[in-house]
Amino acid sequence: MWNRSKKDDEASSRPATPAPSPSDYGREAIPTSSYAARQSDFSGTRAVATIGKSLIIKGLIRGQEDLVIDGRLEGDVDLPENRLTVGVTGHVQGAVRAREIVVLGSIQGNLEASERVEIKKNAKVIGDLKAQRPVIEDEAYFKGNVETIRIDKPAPKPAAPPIVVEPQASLLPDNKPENRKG
Amino acid sequence: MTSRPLPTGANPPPSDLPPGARRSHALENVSAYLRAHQELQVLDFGGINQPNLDFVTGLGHRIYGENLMLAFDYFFSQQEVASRQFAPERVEQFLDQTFDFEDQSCDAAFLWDTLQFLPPNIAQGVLGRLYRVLAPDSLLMAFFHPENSGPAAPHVCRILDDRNLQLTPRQHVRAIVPFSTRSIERFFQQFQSVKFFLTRENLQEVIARR
Repeated sequence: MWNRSKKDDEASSRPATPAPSPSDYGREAIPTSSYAARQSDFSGTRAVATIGKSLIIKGLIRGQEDLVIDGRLEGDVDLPENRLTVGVTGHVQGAVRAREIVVLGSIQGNLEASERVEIKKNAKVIGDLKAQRPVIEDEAYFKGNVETIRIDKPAPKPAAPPIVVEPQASLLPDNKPENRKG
Repeated sequence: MTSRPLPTGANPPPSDLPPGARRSHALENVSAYLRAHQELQVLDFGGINQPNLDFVTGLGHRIYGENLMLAFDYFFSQQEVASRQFAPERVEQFLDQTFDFEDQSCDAAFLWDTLQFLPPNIAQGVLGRLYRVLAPDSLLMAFFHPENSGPAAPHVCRILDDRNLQLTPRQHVRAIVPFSTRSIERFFQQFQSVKFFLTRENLQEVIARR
């Protein structure tokens, strides 16, 4: 094979696990829990809440986790730090504010996202849209005003004046008492 | 009044343009107007698309999007459309719903070729409402195909840059209403002035100043 190293050859000739010695057969296997590993998996992923497609909710939703709506919501959504996805079967009647909004279903209400709003093909949105990056795919139905939020780049700071270190008079060699000439 | 500088790549060389792209003198006029003003309210009645959205918002304006033909299809029943009988109160209701703006609150409108695919009395009503919601001196841009009558495909119009447009026929054909230059003039008679630009494909590009 191409550029196969000696190390690889050694590894392939070795069995994956060492063969158990006769004394190993008598030893009881200790089951290891995968709980700790799973826990770390969960901490590494973002929590996503879902409203299933048979659910109908009336009222305000506010929180700090991503949300997928596949059902029907009559009320506002406020997830300033998170993403809202309205699935193909999802319908929202109310204003939505989130970090990111992705629409595959329908929304009747104003949308405001600090980052991105994506209205996918076949989605339907009636309402005004305000976002840093609005994206409307072909064959999406959109009726409303679009306004982009401009993030002004911070003005470059004026160059700091050069630091001039003036030696203290008392530290100058000539000013040292012992150097003074009487 | 200060004109905005052209963004980098605002007018790419012709070799970089996608198929269906062509130069539009009407668009050049509207672009110059959009660059000369700030924070305008622009209306796009062809069904908003990403290039138009990017172009208009990139100049610092707001864009209102609506697909006028689809709005018409949603509002009127098949029976009304088939019989071509539209009761005046129903037409008023449609116009109220579609043009929910304060008088003289908008600064530019892209109608593209939509007027030609609406029944004449609805198209006349649309124009009347636009005259009402557009501010004095604002611009309206519309296209008229050379087809005489019968079914034709409305086009999706994408603004590629200050002077180039991409026209792509939509999938579904509709009945088209023929317009001569004279009938277009009559159609826009309320407006202060009307400019015509005839393209190589005999498409009439029209800019009407409110």
